[in-house]
Amino acid sequence: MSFAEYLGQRWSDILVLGIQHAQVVLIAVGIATVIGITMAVVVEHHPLARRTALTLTGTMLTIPSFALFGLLIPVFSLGAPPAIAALVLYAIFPILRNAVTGLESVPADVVDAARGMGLSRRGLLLTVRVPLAWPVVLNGIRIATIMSVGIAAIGAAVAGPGLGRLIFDGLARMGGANALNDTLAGLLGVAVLALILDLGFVLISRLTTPRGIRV
Amino acid sequence: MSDTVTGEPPRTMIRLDRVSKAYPGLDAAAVADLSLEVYAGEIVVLLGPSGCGKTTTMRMINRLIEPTSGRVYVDGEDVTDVDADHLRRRIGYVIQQVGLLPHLTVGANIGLVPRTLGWPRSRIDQRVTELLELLGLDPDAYRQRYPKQLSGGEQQRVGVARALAADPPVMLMDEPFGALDPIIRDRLQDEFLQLQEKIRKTVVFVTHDIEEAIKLGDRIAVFRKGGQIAQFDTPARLLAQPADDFVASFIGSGGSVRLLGLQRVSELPLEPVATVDAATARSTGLDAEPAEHSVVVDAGRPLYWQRGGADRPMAVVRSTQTVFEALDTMLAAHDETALVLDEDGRIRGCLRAGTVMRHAHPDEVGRTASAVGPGGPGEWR
Ligand SMILES: Nc1ncnc2c1ncn2[C@@H]1O[C@H](COP(=O)(O)OP(=O)(O)O)[C@@H](O)[C@H]1O
Ligand SMILES: [Mg+2]
Repeated sequence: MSFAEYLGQRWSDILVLGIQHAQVVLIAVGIATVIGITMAVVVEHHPLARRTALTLTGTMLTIPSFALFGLLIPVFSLGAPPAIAALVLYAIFPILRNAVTGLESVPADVVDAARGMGLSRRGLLLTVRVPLAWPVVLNGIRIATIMSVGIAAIGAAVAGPGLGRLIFDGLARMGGANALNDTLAGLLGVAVLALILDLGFVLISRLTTPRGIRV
Repeated sequence: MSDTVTGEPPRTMIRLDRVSKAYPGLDAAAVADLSLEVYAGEIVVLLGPSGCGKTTTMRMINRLIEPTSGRVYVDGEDVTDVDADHLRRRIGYVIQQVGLLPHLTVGANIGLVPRTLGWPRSRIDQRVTELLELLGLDPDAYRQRYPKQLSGGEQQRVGVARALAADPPVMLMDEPFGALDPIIRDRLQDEFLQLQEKIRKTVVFVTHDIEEAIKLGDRIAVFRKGGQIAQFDTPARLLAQPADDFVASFIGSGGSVRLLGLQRVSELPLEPVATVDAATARSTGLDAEPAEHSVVVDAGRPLYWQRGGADRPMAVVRSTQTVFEALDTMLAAHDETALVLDEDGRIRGCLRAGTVMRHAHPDEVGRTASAVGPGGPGEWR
């Protein structure tokens, strides 16, 4: 079967796997966003804590994904949970780092004026610092998302849902019927999904960046 | 600037009581054992070279900096007894970099403190309109703009409007016009003085610019390094009687002449002027000896001194002009007497150069002519 014929026949299966893949990624990045931004806010006034948090979460990225997925099986068994957990661990670093950078880069005179007007710490964070840091924070989430799309494919190793299944199946049956087509479709699907999500972020960025700080 | 206060004593609005601030890691204190009182409704300027502790002193008033020792009172209340955020909402704060929130419109920036205070939306909108008008910005044109769409001067106008939003009795201003080019700075200073005439805030104003201090200050505290006050006095007394060499060198030369720029013509005793109608003057010619100061008028409009004749230029000034301007006019006209008109163009009298010489004294600056005499000036201007 040619690749075109294969796609014509299997497109709906591929689509379902693509959607599952996107779900796993978005759930993981969502959780990582909450954790990452919270951590950034907590550690911002404590240089030592900040350095430690960045080092720890950064170290996560050096663990080969295959190994991390495997390590999480005893905790989460098989399926989506270990896949999502691993992705969260990877996604925290880019989000945390950009959140820290973003909050730090808010101009000192703006913060000074806002404090001088009597904004509380919370008010300052919510009405001044987070909105101004937002483009940088959002970019961190975007990087985490794109990165996670690729890593999530490895999640098939722990029976995680998504396009990784096609890739792993195909590789395992190499030489068999449609093995190459499966692998190819999985890889292509991952690339297309990454592209779609990236475009999604361009749109979100347009919609959520306040007009006064758009470049 | 304020009128002479007679009778009731001035009310203290801000009081610093032996306040010190030592930053960790610095051997010398930034501010040392400083005491200062600011009365309600006056502009007190903190003046001094860079790094002498002016900003530190000002920021201890709204607790952006906590003193190492000493007490600060605002309206009789020890500021450490009040929640710092609540305190700051009652004190306007304007800084050189303005610090408008770039992601909010002009309207939202001005409305920020009222919103924090929980004002209803309609009242905030109304207040924003009112303040934009007060600061000379068309509400329709400016309300929806973002800070980056404004010039430096417009940004600082919005900065002042924002500080005034909740109508605080006290304003702290840290070199607010320092980053503007000279022409805009001059205009904003003038506008600020006019504004102060209306709103009568208690203002602490930091600057390193002596001319700005003289122009705006009711009183000026000259700082020397280490946050100590070298002299705390009216601009006039500062110019005329600098307390020591440091103050004298900081002020620069020409103090007595610059003093004239602080004094209004209306503050000096004027001499009476007789008027002669133009038609009468023509018919009598120069036969009759004219009275000492008689001016020839046509339909109420002064034309020339009768003594000098129609060809001699005449120095004419308004009573609201400064003595400096009056002398300048007199010099230009080669005339040692200037005719003084009031704001409506009516003849008030005439000012002689000799009168200026006799009355150029710091204690006379800021007084109305009628107040000159026994009893001396009020305790503060
Ligand atoms: N946050 C700070 N930490 C350490 N030193 C400071 C800090 N702020 C100001 N200083 C020092 O305190 C002194 C007074 O500063 P400042 O009040 O800003 O002076 P001014 O406003 O008169 O220029 C300076 O020597 C300055 O370097
Ligand atoms: Mg300063």
